[in-house]
Amino acid sequence: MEAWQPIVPSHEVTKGDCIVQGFADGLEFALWRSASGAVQAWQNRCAHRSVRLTLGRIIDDRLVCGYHGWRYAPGDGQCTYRPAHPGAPVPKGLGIRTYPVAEAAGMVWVAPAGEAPRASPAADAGYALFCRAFVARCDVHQAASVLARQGKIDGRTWTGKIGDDDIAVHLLSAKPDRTTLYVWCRELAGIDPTAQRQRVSATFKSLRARIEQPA
Amino acid sequence: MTQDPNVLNDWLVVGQAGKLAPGSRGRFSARLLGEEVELSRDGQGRPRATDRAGRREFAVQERYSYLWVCLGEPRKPLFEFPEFVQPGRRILDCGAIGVAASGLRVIENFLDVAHLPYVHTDLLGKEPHTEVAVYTVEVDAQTDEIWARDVRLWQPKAAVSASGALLAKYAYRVMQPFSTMLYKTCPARPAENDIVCLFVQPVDETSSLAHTLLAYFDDASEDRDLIAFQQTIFGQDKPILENHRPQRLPIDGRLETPARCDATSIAYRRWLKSRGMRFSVHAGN
Repeated sequence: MEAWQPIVPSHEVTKGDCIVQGFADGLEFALWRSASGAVQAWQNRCAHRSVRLTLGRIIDDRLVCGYHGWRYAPGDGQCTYRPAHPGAPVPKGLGIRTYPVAEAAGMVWVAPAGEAPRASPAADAGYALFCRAFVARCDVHQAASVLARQGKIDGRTWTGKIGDDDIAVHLLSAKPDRTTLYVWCRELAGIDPTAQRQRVSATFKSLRARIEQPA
Repeated sequence: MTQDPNVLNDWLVVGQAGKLAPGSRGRFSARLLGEEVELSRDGQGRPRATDRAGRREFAVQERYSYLWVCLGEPRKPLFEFPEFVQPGRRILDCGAIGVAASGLRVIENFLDVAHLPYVHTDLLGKEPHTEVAVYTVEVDAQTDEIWARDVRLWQPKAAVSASGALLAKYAYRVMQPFSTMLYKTCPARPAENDIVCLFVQPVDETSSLAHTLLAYFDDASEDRDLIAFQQTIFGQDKPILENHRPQRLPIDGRLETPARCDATSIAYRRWLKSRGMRFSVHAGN
């Protein structure tokens, strides 16, 4: 398994009252952005009664659980306040399990194993425009071998050209018969990024059909 | 089917007795512990419960306006509920609501007071009135029922009949793993308590039907307003209940961290553990 896994595009995790649910390596995460701008990747489960934190809110730079209003601080996920006992100090270590998280190439990456990997995420900084993620109904080896026919595979990253667009694809095994393909491209001058993203997504859709059913 | 005697040999609710109108040939099927149970009446008008093929008979009784079935051997009689026939009380069934959750989570949520300002905002609680004062919890040695007493709560709109905010006094009684009732300040008759019963039908380990029955001193409100209030409250709990992960209730270990306000929940989990409850319980830490 790769240490860093792409989880959601950076632009989806906005500052303010926004908690995004994400999945990687069979785990469920609550993602949010603190006032300092740092993305948080937390186990999506309150320490008190195991309710999903994505039902909560962000208030004053704290994630507030929707069930009992327990507040958790960015960084270490420590619980800072329990409204049922306003005067009582919160035990140290009572908090949410946090995961190493990074941002690269317009994407949020998490390390589901919990250890901070030494290397940076596998994204090539040159491919800055994230287009979208696809799910292909095949295993990751089939996806890689079909892509390899018209480009270069390096580890779990494919690079190649489709039409005018330079494309990078990160492949992730979701299940034995499902592969998630994260698609980026190099930004081209003279085309609006939204239009380019749509163009790449459309061409990649037909490529996915070939990945699923190679001739 | 589960082998846990705690549910197999207990009386479990399967629906309103009114679904089998007396003297009629009415029948219905209900799901209980993952099994299908057929309910009908015999020639003498007595309720009858069988498996789907009609080969196996189950113990069944009609009480407190519901039908109760035991799929194994009943260990003891159904709990007492003397207020059900107390003069002046109005008995009102608020219907059954399906919830994709463990029935133990549904009961525990009913016993939880700290969530009221957050999940039932402007009705049963509101910030900044979030502090939960100390209350008492004990297991009655004679009946083996859990009692939580002297729970005091500031409530913006405690009931349909409440004209404004009031300081409500609650007491909870847990009769069975899947049956509980709440005694709460009666706005119309301060010396008495209104009662809200929650009888959970465990459809299987992670899905439930919640039956709510009111025994109120309220002869002013309309049925539909009382039912709508109760369904609004449960509708607010439902998304919370369906978002516990794990879905089953942990009664052991350190997966979840309670606080002092959870005294009733702590007693409930300990009580379930002491009887060796396995059904709908989260295994592991």
